[in-house]
Amino acid sequence: MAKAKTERKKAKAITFSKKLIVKDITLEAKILGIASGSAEIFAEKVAEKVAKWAEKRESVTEDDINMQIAKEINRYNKDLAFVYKNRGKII
Amino acid sequence: MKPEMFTVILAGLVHATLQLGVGTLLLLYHASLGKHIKKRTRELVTNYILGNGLLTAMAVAAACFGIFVTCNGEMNPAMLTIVVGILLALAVSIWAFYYRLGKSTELWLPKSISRYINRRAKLTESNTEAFGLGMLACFAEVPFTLILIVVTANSILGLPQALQILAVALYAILSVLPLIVLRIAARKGQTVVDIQKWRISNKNFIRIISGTGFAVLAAFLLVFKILGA
Repeated sequence: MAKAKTERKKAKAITFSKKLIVKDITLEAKILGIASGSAEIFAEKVAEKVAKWAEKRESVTEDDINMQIAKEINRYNKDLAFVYKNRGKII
Repeated sequence: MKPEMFTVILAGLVHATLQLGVGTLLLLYHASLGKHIKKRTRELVTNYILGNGLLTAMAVAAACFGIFVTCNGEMNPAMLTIVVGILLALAVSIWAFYYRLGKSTELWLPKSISRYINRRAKLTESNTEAFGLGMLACFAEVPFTLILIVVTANSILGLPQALQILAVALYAILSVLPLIVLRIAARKGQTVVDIQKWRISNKNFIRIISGTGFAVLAAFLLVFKILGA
C-alpha cells in the first residue's frame, strides 16, 4: 500500500502529430496578430523540421517539442519563439 | 494620515507586488485571445479581476470579524510580535524562493497547482468561470497574503466606523491595481509577449520591492503598534 502511494503518476503518452503542431502554431500566430497566410506557410515548414527531429527519437516530452519549435520558429518570428520558450513558465 | 490607514495602504501595495494574480491573468488573456474576439476577452478579464478583488475584500472583512470576536477588536502586542516575525520570515522567503531560478517568471507554487491553474485558464469560457479563476488565483496566494490580510484587518478595526468599509474597499482595489493596469495596457495594444518580457526583465526588481515591502510593514508595526503602544 505504502509503495503504491510513493509511485509517481505515469505521464499520459500521446502520438506525435505534425498536423497538431501546424494547428497550434497558426493559433499562436493568430493570438499575436500575425497574418494567417504567412503563419500557415512557416507553420508547415517548422512542423516539417520538428517532425524530422522527432523521427530520430524514440520518445520526446512536450517541453522538448516546445523548445524545438521555438528554435525552428525563431528565424520567422521572435515573439512566437518567445511564446513557445515560455510555455508553462508564466506562473 | 492615521497610522492605521497608512498600514492598510502599505499592506495593499505589498499585496499588489505579488505575482500569481498577474501571471494567471496573462494565461487567461492569452488563452482567450485564441478562442474569442477581443471584446469577449476583455469581459472575461474584467470578471477575473472582479473575482480576485471580491475574494480579497471578503477575506479582509472575515479577518476583521475574526479579530473582533477573538481579540476584542484589537490584537495585543504579543500577538503583533508574532505577526512581525511572520512578516520578516515572508520577506526573507520572497527574496530567497518566491521565484524559481532561471529566465522565467515561474513561482514557488508546486508544479501540480501551477499546471491546474494553467489548465483552468485555458478552459475558461464563461464569465462565471473567469470570476472563479480570479478567486482561485487569490486563494492560491494565501500563504503570502494571509498575514497581510490579518495586519490590514487589525488596522481597519482601529479606524472610525465610517472609514472601515472604505478601507476594506481601498485594500481590495490596491491589491488588484496591477491587474487593472495590465487590462489597460492590453487595451492600449500591448501583447502578452510584451508584458511577459517586461516581467522577466524586471523579475529581480519586483522580488526586491516585494520582499522589502514585507520588511517595511514589519518595521512599521514594530515602531507604531508594539513599541509605541
